[in-house]
Amino acid sequence: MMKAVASRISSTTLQLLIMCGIIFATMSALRPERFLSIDNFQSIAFQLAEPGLFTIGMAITMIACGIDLSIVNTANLVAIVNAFILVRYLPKGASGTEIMAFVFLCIVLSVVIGALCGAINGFLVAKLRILPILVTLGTMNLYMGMGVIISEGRGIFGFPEELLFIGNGSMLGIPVPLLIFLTALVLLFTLIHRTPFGLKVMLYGTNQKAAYFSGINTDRTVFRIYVIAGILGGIAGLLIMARTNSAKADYGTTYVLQALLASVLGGISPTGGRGNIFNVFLALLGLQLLNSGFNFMRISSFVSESTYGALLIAVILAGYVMEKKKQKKLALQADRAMAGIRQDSGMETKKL
Amino acid sequence: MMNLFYRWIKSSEFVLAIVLLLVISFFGLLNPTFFSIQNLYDTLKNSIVVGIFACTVMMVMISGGVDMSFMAIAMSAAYITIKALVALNLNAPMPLIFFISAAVGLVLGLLNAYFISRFDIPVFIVTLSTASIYRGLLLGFVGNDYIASTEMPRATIDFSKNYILNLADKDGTTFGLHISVFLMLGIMIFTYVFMKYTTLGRGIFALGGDAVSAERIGFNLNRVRTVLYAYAGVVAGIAGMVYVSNNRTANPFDLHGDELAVIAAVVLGGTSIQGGKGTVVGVLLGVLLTVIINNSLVLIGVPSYWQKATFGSLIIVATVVQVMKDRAKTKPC
Repeated sequence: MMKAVASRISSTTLQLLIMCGIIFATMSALRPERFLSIDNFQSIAFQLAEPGLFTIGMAITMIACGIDLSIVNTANLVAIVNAFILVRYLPKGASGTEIMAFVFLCIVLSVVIGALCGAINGFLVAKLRILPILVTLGTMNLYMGMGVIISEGRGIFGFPEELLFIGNGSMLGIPVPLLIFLTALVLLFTLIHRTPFGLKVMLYGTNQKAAYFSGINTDRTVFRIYVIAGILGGIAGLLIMARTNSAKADYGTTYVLQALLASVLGGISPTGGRGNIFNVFLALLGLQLLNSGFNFMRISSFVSESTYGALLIAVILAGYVMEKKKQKKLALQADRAMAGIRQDSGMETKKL
Repeated sequence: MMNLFYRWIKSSEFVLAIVLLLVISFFGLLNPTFFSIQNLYDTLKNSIVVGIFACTVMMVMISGGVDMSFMAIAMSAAYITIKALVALNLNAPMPLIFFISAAVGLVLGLLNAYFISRFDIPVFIVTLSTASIYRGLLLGFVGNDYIASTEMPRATIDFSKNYILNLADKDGTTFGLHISVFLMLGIMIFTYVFMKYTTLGRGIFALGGDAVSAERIGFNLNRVRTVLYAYAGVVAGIAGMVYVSNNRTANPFDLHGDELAVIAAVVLGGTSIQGGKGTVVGVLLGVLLTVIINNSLVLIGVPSYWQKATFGSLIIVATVVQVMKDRAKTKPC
């Protein structure tokens, strides 16, 4: 029974589950009264959504052999445009339906602007064949710059309650941001691992030329990936403005590193073609648990920043060592098989 | 002869020089004070730290990787040095201070080299992680307080006041060229010679061009990598100390998040992010271009919040042009 379950779960998933378990157990043992509280899980649930959306957005671009450094700035641009519209055009004593109309407009705009930002990235990467890291490095500055221009370098505050519900409310006891994130996660998982499109992305990430010659419209595939990443960024932008009740051009720049880290930690190969969205989610969960645990242990945020880097290197090293072991085992098996063949053929020659 | 001339015109440095001239004349026409010697001196002074960083970023990029840790190394090296000197109340001379900072940089650089060559992890990932480790350890364990100019070692303050070729403007105030401009030029010349005329330098090019071929030719890749990241660490240590002493304060939160601006300048200078291609002259032009554009927008009256977007568009346009130029050479991943 155990064996059957274990064989169905990939080794990366198992590793990540163990990692989450160890972090959870350690933190629970060290600070049980605070770590094992409902408040803590509530706050983790609220905090998971934004980095989560960024991470799965980053992960799919990495599967397609790219990277999206501009995803956080896409979110901020979306938040600023929405905030600008709300503050400028929403009348002071607006009625309930008017406010709802504006909130709906914000939601639509988030997706549209996110898709637009992603489309610019996608166009530059797919059509003009510029390296993703350079493209998104440029657009990262560009989107941030546009945000700075619109907001004139200041933060924009003060949104209606109805919008804030998206970031702070709960439905059936589940935080709305978490609900949005989980929906996105399931949709994306299905898209990448259960549809022809996902297969195309994987093939493209593994070998661009092979993908092209097997008749895949590679340009379109890559373009779509960046649009999807942009949309995820846009939704994250909506959540950021709704949760913090503010929009700023330089909010959350460390999310980029965190998204990269969680993606690599979750087994997404930086050279593309490999990875599982669910594993990325597990990696993210582990990081969040670690983060909140560090908070309770009053470890300075600086040290926890450095554990991110250390964890990433440690995971890659562990992967390296395991890969080496596997190779050694395979080599040993091959040696034995060869020896066996030699023995057999030796006996046969004697017979002859 | 004609052939050489033709090749020179087709080089990316030439294109960049033309662009630089156009940009300079554009700003000069809009604001005549742009052509003053004072502005020239200011531009040079503003490009010092970026210029020094750009050398190491270029070298790592030629080897086929993107370094994200140089600023973390620089800040760690400089801050540790200053903090130690202040704590011990030592009055060290400036060369010694530079030496200590470079030594700390060397150690951190070697650590990068170890991970990259021993375990063959992508440079971008390693340096991103080590940057966060170095910075976290620096802020968490060495200190996160700001060292004010009154506490700074005297030699660094003296160094920051070291101007030569002094001139006086109309009002009688004197201004000069900061001495560390020559430090930057020195490092650039050294890098140029190293990359062009030494076996190790050629090894870095070979590594970026094609690692397997480089190994077959007989380059010891681990040694090439070790020297590369050690040198990058040393230069970052020097750059950090130049930054700290010119600012006359040591703030460990500085030099954070601008890595991509330096990388952009290097890419603008014609360095190929896929490795194997890049020149110091191009990088110098790229650095000057970004510094001039960033500083001169203010000079001609563009609100400062337009800078970021302009800069971003510039990177995109520049890379599109570069890619269009050698489209045939693009290789997957």
